[in-house]
Amino acid sequence: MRQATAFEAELRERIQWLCRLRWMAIGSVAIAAAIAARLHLHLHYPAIYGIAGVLAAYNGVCHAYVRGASFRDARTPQRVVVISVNAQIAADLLMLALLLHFAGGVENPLAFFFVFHMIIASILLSRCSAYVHAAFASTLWWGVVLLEHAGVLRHYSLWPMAGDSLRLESTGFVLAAPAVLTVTLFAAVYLTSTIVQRLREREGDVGKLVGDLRGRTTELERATAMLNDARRRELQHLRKVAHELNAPLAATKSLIGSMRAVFGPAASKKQVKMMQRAEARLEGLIGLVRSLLTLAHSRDAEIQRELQEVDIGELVAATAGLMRARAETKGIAYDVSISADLPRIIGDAESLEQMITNIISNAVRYTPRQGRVLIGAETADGGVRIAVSDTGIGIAPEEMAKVFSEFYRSPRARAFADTGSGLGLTIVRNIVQSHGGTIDIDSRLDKGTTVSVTLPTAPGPPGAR
Amino acid sequence: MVKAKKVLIVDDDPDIVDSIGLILANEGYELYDANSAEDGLTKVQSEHPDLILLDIMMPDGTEGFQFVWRLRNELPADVQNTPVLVLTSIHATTHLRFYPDEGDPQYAPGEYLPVQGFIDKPGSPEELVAKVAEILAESPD
Repeated sequence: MRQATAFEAELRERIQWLCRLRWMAIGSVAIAAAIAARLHLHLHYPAIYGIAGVLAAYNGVCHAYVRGASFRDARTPQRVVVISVNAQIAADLLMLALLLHFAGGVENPLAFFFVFHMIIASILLSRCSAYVHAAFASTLWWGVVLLEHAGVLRHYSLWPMAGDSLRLESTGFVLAAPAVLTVTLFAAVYLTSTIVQRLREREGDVGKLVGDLRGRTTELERATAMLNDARRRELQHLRKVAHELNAPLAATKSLIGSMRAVFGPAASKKQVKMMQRAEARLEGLIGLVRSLLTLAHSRDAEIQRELQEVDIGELVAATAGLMRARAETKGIAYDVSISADLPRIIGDAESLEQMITNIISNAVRYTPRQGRVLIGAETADGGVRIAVSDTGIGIAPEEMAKVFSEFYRSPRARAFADTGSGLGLTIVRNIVQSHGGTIDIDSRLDKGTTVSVTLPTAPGPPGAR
Repeated sequence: MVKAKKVLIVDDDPDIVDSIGLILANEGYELYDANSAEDGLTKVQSEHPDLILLDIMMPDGTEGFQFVWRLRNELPADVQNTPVLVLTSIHATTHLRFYPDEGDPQYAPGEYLPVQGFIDKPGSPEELVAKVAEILAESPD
């Protein structure tokens, strides 16, 4: 039914257009009559102006009605609208016929103006109605011409010199002219309504396509919601499992640690060593579980972000401070340099802290003793750039693409440091992406690595690289 | 001879209770344990410990909090201010913050939850011993 409604709405608009056209026609009649008077044609001017007046009157009424509220907001039933259009066109045809009668009858070439009405009728109304109007117009015109020819109606000649009955004596012409016009009118209706019909069909197709698209979009939205839902449930499950892994791991490590601490002094070196190794493996496992939880949390955070204004300078400083002790245990020189006046960032403070922790943690872990780690934050491109440089083992070019992959630890990394979940940079990348930032790694083997994260002041859409 | 300090461990995991107990007993503390908040509150009143080690997540997540609030608000005045050291694995795993960051100059462990300190579960035995000693040293006798 959507098709019908579009057509109906269009019809109401077109009626306003029709009224405007009629004003132009009335104007033209007045001008033409003035010109005719100048040319000293003996036309029935009072009748002509009178008809123009009648046209103006009913056009005024139509126009006012069509602009009125009840018409525009579709309170008028469609049936009434269609009847009114038919009535207007019929009246116009009648007026044109009368005008032509008082202005030369069959002599007036302006009889072809009937074609305009046929075109309008074909556009606004059904094919059938348009043909009816063609028939009506033809009948009117035949009527005028034959009645004038028979002398029942007076003929107002266009040709002043010739007198009143010049063309009327030529019966051939009197029959041919309206015949040609009749054919023209029906042809015009046929041509126009065919084109209009095709147009309407195309419109219908487009309407259907739009409907299909809307349907697809709704389906897509529903599918996305379901996917997000499934993902959320997955993450919840992951978190539950990780929690449940945590407790027994913690208990085991606690037991072994306490054994080592309390019985160690009385036990053999070998026994102590074995307990230490067990403790270390457990430490690794616990770290892994914590990383998994953080990963789940950061992925979850993508789905529902809690955005706030974060004082990023202070956050970097604070986090760097927390990690300092670890660096100093390895004898690593540790420098923190935060610019003053860093802009605040819209983001999630928890994940940003996690991101910074992970980057610094990597720097410290993969830098040998007596190395150096530099942490800096400065403005860049209207946002903030956080850079962590180290003099560590570096990342080989062929490893570069893989370092962000989950659980990936390069062979060199494994050889250098026992612990490491392989999730650190994955988490960092997720957090950077969800804040609409970018991450760059610059590294040279055995010389060092610099990890730079640039964050905009506002995240924009998630997933932007 | 200085009287041994009493430590009450409130945790529903017997492995944690035993392993922490072993470490602290080795340092000369007198150990008591409870495996629920109710049991813990009873033991506080009967034993008057000098320090309480509390698992914050046993077993559903709110029991630990309940213990602290009830200890501070409902128990008799002579035990209300017993120092509490919280054992937690929540902090690291779900990013719940009970206190402002340690780097913050305004850091005061008891600010949001009225306890004297937090320690990750499992910490190393050395960390635990140090933290316990620290808190006992700070609290008035």
